[in-house]
Amino acid sequence: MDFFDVLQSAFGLFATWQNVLVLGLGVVIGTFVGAIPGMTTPMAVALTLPFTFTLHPVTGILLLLGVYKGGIYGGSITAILINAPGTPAASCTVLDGYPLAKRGEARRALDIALYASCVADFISNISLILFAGVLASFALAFGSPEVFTLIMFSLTIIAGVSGNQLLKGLGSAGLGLLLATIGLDLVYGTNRFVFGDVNLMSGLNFIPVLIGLFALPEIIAYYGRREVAREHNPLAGVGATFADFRRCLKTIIRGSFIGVILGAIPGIGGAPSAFLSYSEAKRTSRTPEKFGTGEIEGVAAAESGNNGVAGATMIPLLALGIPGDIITAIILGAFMIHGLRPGPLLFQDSLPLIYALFIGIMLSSIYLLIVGKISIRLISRIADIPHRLLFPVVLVLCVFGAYAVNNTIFDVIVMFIMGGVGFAMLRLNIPAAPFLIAFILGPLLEDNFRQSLLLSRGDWSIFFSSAICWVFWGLTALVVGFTVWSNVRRA
Amino acid sequence: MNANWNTRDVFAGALILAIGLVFVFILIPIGVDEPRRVKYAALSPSYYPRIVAIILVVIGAVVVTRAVFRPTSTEMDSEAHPTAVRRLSGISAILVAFAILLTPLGFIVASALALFAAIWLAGEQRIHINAAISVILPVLLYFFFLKVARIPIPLGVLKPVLEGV
Repeated sequence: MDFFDVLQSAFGLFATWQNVLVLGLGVVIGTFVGAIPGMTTPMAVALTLPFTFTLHPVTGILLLLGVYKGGIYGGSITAILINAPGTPAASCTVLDGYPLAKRGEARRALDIALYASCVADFISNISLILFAGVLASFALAFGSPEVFTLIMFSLTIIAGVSGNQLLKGLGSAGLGLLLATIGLDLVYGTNRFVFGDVNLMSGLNFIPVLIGLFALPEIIAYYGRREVAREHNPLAGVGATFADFRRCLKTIIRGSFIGVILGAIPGIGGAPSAFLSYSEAKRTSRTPEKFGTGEIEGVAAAESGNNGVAGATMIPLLALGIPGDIITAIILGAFMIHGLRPGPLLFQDSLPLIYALFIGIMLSSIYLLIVGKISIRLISRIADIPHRLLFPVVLVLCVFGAYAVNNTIFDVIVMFIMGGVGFAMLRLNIPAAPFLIAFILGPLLEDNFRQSLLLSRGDWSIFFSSAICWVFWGLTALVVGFTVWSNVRRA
Repeated sequence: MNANWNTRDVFAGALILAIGLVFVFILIPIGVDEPRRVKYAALSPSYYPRIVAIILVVIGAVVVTRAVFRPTSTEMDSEAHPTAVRRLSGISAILVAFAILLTPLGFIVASALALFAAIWLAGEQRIHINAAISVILPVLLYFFFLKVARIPIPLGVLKPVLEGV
């Protein structure tokens, strides 16, 4: 199959009204949810996932990608209007966005945030298309030991998603790895932690665990919190001019590339990228003193850095099958549910599907612009939805979603139990993201670990037998060393 | 509700440590069926979970030790609801009842009851709005899953009424 045949097949796969509609719907859902303080983008992706089971894999994954991209942009809306970032990555947008809104220039700030998001998202998507295939063809040479060391390296993203709770994050990951061992043993087919229950033989399903860990604890925690009334700035002023955009363009492009580079490295995510882009913009500005007081370039820097990661985090996911952050970990689970395994073999066996996703991803940037322009007035009121109605509604969505996975009440019970576990983790400051990442990567880690030892007849030196293994061990040691060093320095 | 980082870390570490120990000494010995012959020790089904469980024990012990021996600051939970304990107990009871009632009552009725109780507990005073959401949402979700996603949702007591619709 030559390139044009692949492209033709990809267009055939993509060009259905369902795909076009669902992608737009995903961006709308993501933008709305991202704009609600207290609702997170992983929660939105988790709750959307059960609705994708019966869809074609391309359609289902495009829906989730739409929610992901919309969610990242949506977080900036409440950051600007009510000083409450809808997502952690939007916390940098608050610095200049909120002061702008306070002095009656909310519209201008929102416009620049939208343009910066769309440009950064577009650049990030292009980088995904350019680099994912190259990386995947390199990864085709990987055997079991290389894949094992690659997964060990990818588990270092746990450091990135654990915040300042590294040790507890590692403990959380350990719990996830153990939970992933429930079910039939991969080599001998004997039972592990099944205790005679047929439901446990195929292991715990990822969706009830996901919903239980990421949605239920937020609902329970809501009942322990006071609803804080926030000052809501009106959607006032005139929109951004072309001169504003032109003034910010350099910052936007620089921020986009910062986002691409940091996004492609597993575990870094949108918030550090936004802050790095912001500090670079401030450092190179002729008027750095204006940053933090309502400087439009500050909004552009934060949003471009934040959205620049969105496409780039998909590079390690599609090319190597390792997630760059918690949302791509969920999307990895979605691929698996649809019987697909991201990584080099997907590029070899299902290239039209990958290209169809690329086409959809490119279209999502345009959707983001349309949704942002048309529905900004409506979205800006979203934060006013009372949480006393919102969270109970989400609870019922969780129950229906968990049931829909396998049509068993067992999954709903698992979700409730994981909700309790997740709430306990929340109260004890044990991060939940490492748990889920380890739960998803666990079977792959164990499978390659044991396959390697089967090949080497139990000799552990196989994990150091190739240059690629050494590269991944070196990278792992580097990340672990840096993390320990920065933790010691912080302490 | 005042929260102490130190206490939280001690609890968190103790929990991780306890789970690791339970796996090493109870769950792995009784919960993993070993095949009669294993070529290499590393291929045994209990080998990998045992390594992970031992790592958990070490991490748990380090977290507890750090929490006990390192001075830490106290974090004030300023956004706690004045009746947090009552509300948290209430939502816990609703979740347990929801899980128990799903099978006998079916998803629509159990969800409607749980939704009504959860909205009421959250502080919504307008009964008509609460009732409308509680009835309409589960019915809409039922028909969405049945007609669009083609997933049949258990009807329970509503089976004679809605089956075939």
